[in-house]
Amino acid sequence: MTSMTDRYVHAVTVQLPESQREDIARELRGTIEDTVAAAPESADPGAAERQALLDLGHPTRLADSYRGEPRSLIGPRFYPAWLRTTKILLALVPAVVGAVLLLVGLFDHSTPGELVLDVLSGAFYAALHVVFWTTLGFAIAERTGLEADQLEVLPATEEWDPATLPEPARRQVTWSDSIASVVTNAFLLVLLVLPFRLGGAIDDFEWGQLFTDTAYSLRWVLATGMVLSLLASVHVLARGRWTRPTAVVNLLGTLLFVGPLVWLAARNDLYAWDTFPVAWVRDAGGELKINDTATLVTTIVVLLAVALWETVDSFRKAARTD
Amino acid sequence: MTTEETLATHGQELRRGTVVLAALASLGEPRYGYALLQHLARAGIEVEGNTLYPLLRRLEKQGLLVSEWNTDESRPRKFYALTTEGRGVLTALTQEWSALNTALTRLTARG
Repeated sequence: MTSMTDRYVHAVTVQLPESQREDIARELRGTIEDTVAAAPESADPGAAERQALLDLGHPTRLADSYRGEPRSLIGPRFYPAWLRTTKILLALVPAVVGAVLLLVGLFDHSTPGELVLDVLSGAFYAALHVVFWTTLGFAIAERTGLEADQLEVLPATEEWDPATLPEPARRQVTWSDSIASVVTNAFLLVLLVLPFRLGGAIDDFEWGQLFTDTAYSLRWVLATGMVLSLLASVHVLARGRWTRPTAVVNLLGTLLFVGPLVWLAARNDLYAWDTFPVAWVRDAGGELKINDTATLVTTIVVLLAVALWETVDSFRKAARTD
Repeated sequence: MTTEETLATHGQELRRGTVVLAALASLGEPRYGYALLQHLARAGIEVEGNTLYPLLRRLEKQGLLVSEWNTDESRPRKFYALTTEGRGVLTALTQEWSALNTALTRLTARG
């Protein structure tokens, strides 16, 4: 076993930039040895070493002190907004996902055991994703503050004149709007990345698969797009306004999400007509009441309209911010 | 917060800024970390090692100190000493300190 001092020095320096490690380790070890050597001769060397290390304090605190700055993922400026957003999302998204899975399970005639397991694991996945992506979004907002800071306050580097103080910045996007957008994106994302299929491949025709296998295999592309849109919406939530980079990320996310869906719908490869929940849409004669073409056209039009509106809106607001 | 805790916080705040001046004033001749700590303690400046050692590195990074490893003795030690720039800062800070001291003495005497 290595000595207490060695372990302490390692615990401190492992948290420091590699270029400084060796030098600080050497100096720190020498300092600890000096301190121990200065202890009264009657003292037990082990106890003196222990006391010297205790006096230097917790390795992380000492490493912070060497680094000169505490590390934090989300600083005090964004912490309240992060907490508020996470709480709202955690209250809504897992519950809605759970409710959807409950409905699916009821149609599917799942056993009560399966039902409880599906709902709980779905809600758990939802909570996990919500917390992870929201935190990531805020961490990005924390680290990309430069241009937005200068918009909201003043260029910190230049000479300033009280006359040039900007008007207090009002939120361009209200809290409720930005929360709603984050909730929608998070909800869609969770549905996309659930570890099992909605509807699934079930022999019983009462409830079948809604979307084709092709659509299902493309879900990771859609999920990637949704992640980008979610990060953009979290950024907007944190900053209260659209910026050009955020709008570009959001556009990329929209393209990745809407693009494959429109492509699939145009090839009539989106809805799994054969396994659609036929009991609802088929009349007594067994004919499909649903109009394939009309449904596909509606789907495409709605998707394109939403994508277009979101893109135009975000870039327009970003232009106003610039 | 009790009065003692409040006092401890304010006292710490008051001493914090003086450590830099005390360290610079002691480094006209080169000293290594632990020796400087001892020197300061003997002079009546109580400072924790976990404050002083990182501070020395910061001052070196700012160009006020220069360091050199001495490996002649049994234990390798890093010696710090003032640079020309460090001397200038020491002089300026000393003047500031004495102005502050005069002002505060006058204020506190008046009560």
